[in-house]
Amino acid sequence: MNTPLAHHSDTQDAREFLTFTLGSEEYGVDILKVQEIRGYDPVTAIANTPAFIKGVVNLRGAIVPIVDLRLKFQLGNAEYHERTVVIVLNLSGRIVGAVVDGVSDVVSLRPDEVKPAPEFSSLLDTQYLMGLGTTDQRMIILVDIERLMTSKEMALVDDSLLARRASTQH
Amino acid sequence: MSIDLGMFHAAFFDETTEHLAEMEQLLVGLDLDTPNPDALNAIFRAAHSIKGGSGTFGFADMAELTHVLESVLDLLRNGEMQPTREMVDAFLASVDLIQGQLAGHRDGSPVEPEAAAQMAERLEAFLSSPHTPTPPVLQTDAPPALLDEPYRWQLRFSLPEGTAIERGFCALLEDWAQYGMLYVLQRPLHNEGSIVGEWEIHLTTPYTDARIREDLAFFADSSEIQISPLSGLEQDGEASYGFFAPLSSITEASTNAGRALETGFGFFDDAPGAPSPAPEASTERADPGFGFFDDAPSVRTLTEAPNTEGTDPGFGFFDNAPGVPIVAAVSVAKSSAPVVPPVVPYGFFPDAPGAPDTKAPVENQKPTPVTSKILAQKTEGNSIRVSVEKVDHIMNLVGELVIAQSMLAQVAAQLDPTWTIRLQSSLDQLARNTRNLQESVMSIRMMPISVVFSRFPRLVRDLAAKLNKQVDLITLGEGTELDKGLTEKLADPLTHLVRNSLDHGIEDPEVRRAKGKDPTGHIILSASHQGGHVVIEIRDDGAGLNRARILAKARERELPLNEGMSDQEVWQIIFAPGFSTAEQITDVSGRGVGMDVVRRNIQEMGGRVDITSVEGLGTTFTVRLPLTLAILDGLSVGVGSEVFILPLGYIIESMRPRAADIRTIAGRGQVVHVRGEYLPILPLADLFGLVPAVRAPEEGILVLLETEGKRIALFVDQLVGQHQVVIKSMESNFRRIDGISGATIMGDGRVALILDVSYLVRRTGRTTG
Repeated sequence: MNTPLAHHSDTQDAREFLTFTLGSEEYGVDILKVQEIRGYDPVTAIANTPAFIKGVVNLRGAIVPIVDLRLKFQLGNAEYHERTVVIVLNLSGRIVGAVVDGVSDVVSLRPDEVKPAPEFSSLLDTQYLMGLGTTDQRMIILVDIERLMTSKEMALVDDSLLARRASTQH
Repeated sequence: MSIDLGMFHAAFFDETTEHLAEMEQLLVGLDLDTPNPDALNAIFRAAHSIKGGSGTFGFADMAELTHVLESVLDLLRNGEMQPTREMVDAFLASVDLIQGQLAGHRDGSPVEPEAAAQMAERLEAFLSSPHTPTPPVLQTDAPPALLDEPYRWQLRFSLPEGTAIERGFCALLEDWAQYGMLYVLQRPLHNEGSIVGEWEIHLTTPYTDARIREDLAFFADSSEIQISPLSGLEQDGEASYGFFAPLSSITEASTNAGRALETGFGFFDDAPGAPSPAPEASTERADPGFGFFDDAPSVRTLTEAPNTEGTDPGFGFFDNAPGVPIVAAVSVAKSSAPVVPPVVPYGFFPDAPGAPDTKAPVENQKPTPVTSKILAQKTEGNSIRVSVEKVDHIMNLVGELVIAQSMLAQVAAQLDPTWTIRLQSSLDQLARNTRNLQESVMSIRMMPISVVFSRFPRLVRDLAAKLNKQVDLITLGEGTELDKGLTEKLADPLTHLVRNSLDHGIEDPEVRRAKGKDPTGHIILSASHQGGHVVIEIRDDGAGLNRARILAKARERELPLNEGMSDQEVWQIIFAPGFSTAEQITDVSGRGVGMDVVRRNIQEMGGRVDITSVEGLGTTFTVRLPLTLAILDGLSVGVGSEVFILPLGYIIESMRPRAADIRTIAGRGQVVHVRGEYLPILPLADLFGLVPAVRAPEEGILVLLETEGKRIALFVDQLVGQHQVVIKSMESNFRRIDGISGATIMGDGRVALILDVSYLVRRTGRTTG
């Protein structure tokens, strides 16, 4: 299930992030949440859902929703061609596909290379950010992808499930 | 190594549930005048197993109750008491109670001890009743005194992989060691500390072979248990058996063993040179022939050395032995200490002069042939328990394989046939194999419907007694298999239908006599396979449905009616919510809840229920279900570029309407006139925001759907085809979507959504008429 990109770093405490671009911004997600990267297959659209939920696809027998992050954050051109990339995320057993502009690489970041995110940064609400990573003059916005994808605004999870989760956390 | 008791608990709960069900079934079927001894034995065994298991796991309340139950059953099976109706009632009640206790332990909910105590008293009353000339002596409970002439058995058996109750087995060995003498000659070694594998034990015991077999059958496959009497030759200390303690010393040794066992089996911990009850004997009295004892890495003998006279040079062959057969090596200790060294007891005997032939130990001691009855008692040892998730996972994989195979076939079909003849034949082969594989995997989930049917004899018995009716229940086709998931969901609706037949169908005995019928009514419960479906019939020879009364009642409740309704349509009215023609509400049925739930439950399983009835002769409910829950019979319909699946069970018909039958109601959309009814039209394209290929209903197709007493006409572009589709959950990775009950993967690998008919009908929000 691991992608070829996933390899363990020797560096102590360093975490690896898969980076991708949305428009001109570079984002990173925890590599351990990434199941695979694949091309964009035609989806089965689902009525009465937000536009950024493209629909569902068959991923080896599982019905998996596909979210276009470009549409969600109004970044980049939401075009679909043979080079359109879907990052398949495995978030505590739930599988979600995310369409992005392009996947860059895997970076390893030590804790001291991650700075807290300022309040005003990016299109994302700060609660979905793990911080800003800096490496080789690049700034990578590190996204708490699990929290984002299971949030109410993404409309990917049943409200009842969200409520249950919230109650178990408190 | 720690034992995960939770895992064993689950196995125990499962097994006990089965035992209870078996007991109930046998009890209900018990002929009181001439009780079948096999049945009585089976009931006893079930109770015994439950007792053993609950004792092992420390469920004292269950163990206590089953103990009393077992005592009464023991008298019955020995013919010391004649079963009575009161007894069977009490037994059934205690089965219920144990079920409650079991549920209590499983769910951690409290169990009322008073009820159990009362039940125990009720059962004990039978023990002291005049039926019993002699009070029972309970072998299992009181430590039996050692007989003057105990039996000596050679046991060989194999514990299968997954023997759940390790502790229980060890407790059994402990028990044997305590009330007799136990020599473990061979135990599984490949996996240290594991009890799984081949065992060979010599046992001196007051227990009969039947008793031992019964105890062992709880752990091992009974067909693989060999019990044979040991010959007396070893008693005189001659030849190779000489190293065993003579009988006279057994008692002493076993007491020591017992003591050692009590102290937490500590003698295993420091294995080399572990305390031996008779170390002096072995060192002092042994002649040079015994010298090997000193060097042996882990000699722990509980025996006294045999009399020196008996030790002849024949013992010399022990020198090379890796270890020594251990007396009472009750491998209870799960400690990290080296367990018994590899002992291949007979392996070195052949070289020994005068070694007995292991195959012929039987010489003179009461040969007790193993009764074939006991041998045949369990064949289920050939089955394994597998979690449903594992099977489902395999089902998914096979489903994928089928899709991949059909995609491959589609690609191949586009190639030039002259080049691909061999490819085609290989693909045909592949198609056949995948289909077979799919069917085989499906069959794993299949269970006989007897799982459901088995509850009805009890239900009918209790209910008939309550209603003062005489009813015989006949079940047919119990071997008919259907998906496990279905059997679980089927129980409720079938129970309702059977209760309904008993309460409303079957008349009172006097009424039946007056009508010239047999005063005993009959309910026939049958199941069969019919073309990819399971058909279950509940047939009674009761009063039948009364058309006039149903129509009158329907008019009273202002249900939609029309003249010229067929009987079939009239009977369907009884499924309307809240409908009941019962003149009197009993606590059994008649409140009018139930029949609508029955139909809804069956529809949810993708099935349907039909009624045929002849007044005065009886009623038949026919439930038709798909073979499995995972597969749905569906009609695929096309709207624009999308394909949707409609479950076949809800479809009345599909039609292309005439333009004249379409009417528009201001602000309410369109309706279609079908046989005197106006049905609202729901355009699927509007609901899902699609662009349809056709705009006018008369150019497309109307699919008439019915559920919960409402009908609508769903407007789609075209019918695509009828399929059996594998249902996939949307919720596992996504969320519930209104109007969609699930999804499936079509032959080309794309996802098609399955429509939620109840939602469509509710949304349209109009009743028929």
